[in-house]
Amino acid sequence: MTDPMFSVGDKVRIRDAYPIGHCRTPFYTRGITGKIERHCGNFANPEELAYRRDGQPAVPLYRVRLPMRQMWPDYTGAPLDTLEVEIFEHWLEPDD
Amino acid sequence: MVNKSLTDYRGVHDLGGLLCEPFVPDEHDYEPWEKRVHAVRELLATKGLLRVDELRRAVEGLGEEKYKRLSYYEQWVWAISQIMLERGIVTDAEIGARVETVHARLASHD
Amino acid sequence: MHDYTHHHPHPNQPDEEDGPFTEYRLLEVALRELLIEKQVITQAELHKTYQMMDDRGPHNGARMVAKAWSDPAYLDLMRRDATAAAKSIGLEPTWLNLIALENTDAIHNVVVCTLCSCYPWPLLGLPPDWYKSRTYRSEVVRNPRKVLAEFGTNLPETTEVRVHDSSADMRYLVVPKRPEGSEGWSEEELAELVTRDSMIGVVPALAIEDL
Repeated sequence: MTDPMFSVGDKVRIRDAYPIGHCRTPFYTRGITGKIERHCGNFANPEELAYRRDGQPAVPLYRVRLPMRQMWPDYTGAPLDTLEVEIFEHWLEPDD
Repeated sequence: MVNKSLTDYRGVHDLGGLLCEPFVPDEHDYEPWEKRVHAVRELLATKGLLRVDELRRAVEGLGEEKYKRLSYYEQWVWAISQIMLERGIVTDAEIGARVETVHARLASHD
Repeated sequence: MHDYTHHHPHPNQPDEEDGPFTEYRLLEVALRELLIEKQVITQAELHKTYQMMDDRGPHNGARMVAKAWSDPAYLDLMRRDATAAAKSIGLEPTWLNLIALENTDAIHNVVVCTLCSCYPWPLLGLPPDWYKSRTYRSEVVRNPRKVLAEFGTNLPETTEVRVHDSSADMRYLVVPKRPEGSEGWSEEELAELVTRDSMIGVVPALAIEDL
């Protein structure tokens, strides 16, 4: 099993990338920075499974917490509102 | 470099944050045919003949007009059929012929 | 149990009361018949699956929530491993990787799947149309308080709204706040207060006077 690269609380940036195939990284989260909420376990890569490859080795999957205000500069809800989303490790980079 | 604001690489299904019409919480009772689609899908998945990732990829490939127009289980039955074709479990000729047979059978009931 | 194929001598024939036979309805019948003929699936397996689907529903999730409200050890298990918590009370052994989200005065959780329609079927049954709608999926991650207000849920600025976009491998069950005045109620009584929508996170649990 691949050891997770990130730990709870790490600051990460979701990659600003635009592949054309099946993937699980919602468009609106790309390029956004947030914090690792937890490591969910390792899961076969859906980007491979969708095309009937085996998706191995399994990829660490995290939940990342993102501030609403970061994603939507004109956000009208409360400043403390957040969003959490599952992101595979190859979609994350450290944000120093 | 892909321009995020202009890219066609965004899938038709990737809706988060795209403001369309106002949200109205509505629902209907599931129709028997919709439950049958759901059951076939689950059964095929259990047998290892249909992955959720494949199904989603097929739904995402519908094209914008169809993606918007089709109901949820219309999308599914289309996508399941596509995957059964890809996997060689059924042929297009078989589906075409059977659709005609079913249509004729139902018409004869009217 | 629903009879999915009633009123017809031919077991694979769709129900006439379903509405017009669109191209997609025809395709459903054609595909299912072919899969059965080719022995990819059997009619008996399909009926078992219908039965399993009928056994699912919000009453399952409600049992978990009611138990979490009454039993601190169970709540602790829900926090650590919600899948194990589901299995420990005999709910459908499942492929689910479940996370329980507790609503409190400080945090209000609400669940969506923006990319498709991920939903904890074994615990809540099939999702309502609005959950799968383009409008919910696009709007709730952008203006969650506005969407919650459509359900009559208005939260103070001091409560953090936390939206969960469930589009990969985990599934989510919201544990609503326990209604005031329900102290001393049995788990069965408490479960009556737990609605489907409260476990998606768009409304609170019922108030005791709503029963």
